[in-house]
Amino acid sequence: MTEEQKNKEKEIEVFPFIEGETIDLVAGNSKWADLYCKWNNDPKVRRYARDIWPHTIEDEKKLYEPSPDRHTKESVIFTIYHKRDKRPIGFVGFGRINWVNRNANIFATIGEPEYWGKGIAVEANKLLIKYGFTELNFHKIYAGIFTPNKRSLRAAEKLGFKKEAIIKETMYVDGQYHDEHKFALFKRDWFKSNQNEL
Amino acid sequence: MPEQKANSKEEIEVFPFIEGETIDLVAENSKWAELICKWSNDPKVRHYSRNAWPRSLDDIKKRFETVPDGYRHTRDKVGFIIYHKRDKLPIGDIGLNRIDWVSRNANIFAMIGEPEYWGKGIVGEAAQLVLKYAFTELNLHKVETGVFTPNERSLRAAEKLGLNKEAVVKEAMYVDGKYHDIHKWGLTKKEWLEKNKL
Repeated sequence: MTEEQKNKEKEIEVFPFIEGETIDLVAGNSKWADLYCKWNNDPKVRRYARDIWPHTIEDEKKLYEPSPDRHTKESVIFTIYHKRDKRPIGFVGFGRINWVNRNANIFATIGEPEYWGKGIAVEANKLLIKYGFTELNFHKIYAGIFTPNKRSLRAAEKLGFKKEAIIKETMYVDGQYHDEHKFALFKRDWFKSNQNEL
Repeated sequence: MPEQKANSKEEIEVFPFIEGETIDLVAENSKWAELICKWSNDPKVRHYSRNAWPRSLDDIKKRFETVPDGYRHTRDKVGFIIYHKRDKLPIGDIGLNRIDWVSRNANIFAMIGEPEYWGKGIVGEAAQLVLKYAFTELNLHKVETGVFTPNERSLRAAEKLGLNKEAVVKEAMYVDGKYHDIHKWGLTKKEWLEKNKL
C-alpha cells in the first residue's frame, strides 16, 4: 500500500452499521472508490468474484450515487472494515433481492489477498445472514459457487448452507467450463441452529 | 354520457390484469390521464379520498414515467383502474400503497371516481380482488387501511370485507372545518385465509 493510499484511508471516519469481532460492516463510501476499483480489477480477486469486465473509478463512484426517493433497494452492500488494522478490506452484501419471494443472493469478496484464509469472509457472512433473517425478513438466502473455488465451498458448508443443485458447465472460467454449485439457507433452519444469537 | 367518457370508451383497448364479476382490474393507461385528473379534483370524490390539493394533468402524467434501472422489480405502490365490464368504462382506481417489503404490510386504497357507481358494492368486489392479489401473489403479511368517521360507506365496506378494527386515532383528520377520528382497520394473511376457507 502506498503512503498516499494509507493517508486516504486514515482520513475517513467509519460508522459501523453491524459490529463483529475482527471486522465491522460499514456503509460504502465514495472516498474509497479507488480502493474498490483496485479490488475489482485485481486478477487474483476477480477470478473468484467472476468479474470479467474492467471497472473504472467512475463505475465505482456511480454505485454510491444516492438512490431515487422512496424506492426499495434490490441490493445492499457493505464494506468489510478490519477493526485492528483500521482499513477496508472487502465487500459483502445481498444482490438480486426479490421482495415477493423473499430471497436474495449473498456475495462476499476479500479484496486484499493478505487477509484470505483467516475466516474473515465467514465472519462477515455470519453477520450478514443474521441481518438478512432478523432485519430484512428473508425466507431464503442462496449462493452459487463454481467448482474450483474450494474456499467458498468450505465456507458455505461452515455457514450451514445446504447444497440444492449442481448446474452443469454453466460457468466459463480460465478457458474451461465449470459446474456451479447452488447453495441455500432457509430462515427456519437458521433460527433452529442460532437460538442463542437471538 | 359526457364526451370524455365516450372517448375513453372507444379509443382504448383494455387488457384485464385481474378479472372480477362486474369489474376487472386493469393497468393504468396514460390515455386515461384526463379522466384520473377529473376524479382526483372532483369535490364530491376527493371529499372521501381526502385529497386536499389540486392535481394538475402534469402531476397525473408524471405517474406514467418509467422507473429507473435497478428499481424495476420492486415498487412501494401498485394501482389499478377499476373497469366496468358491462358499461365498458373506467370508473375508479384501487391499489396498495406504502408497501413495506420488510414488515410485509401495505395500505389499501380505493376510489370510485364516477359517483353514479357509488353504493353498488363495487369497491367491495374490487377490494376482495386486491386482497387476494396482496396475499397470494405479493406474499404480504398484513393489509391495513384508515377510514375517517363520517365516511360511513367505507366503514361498512371495511366491515363487510372482514377487516378488523384495531384502533381509533383521535382527531387525526381535518375534514370540512372539523377534526375527525381515524379508524384503523387491518387483516392478516392468516385471518384472510381462515375467512375464505383457503
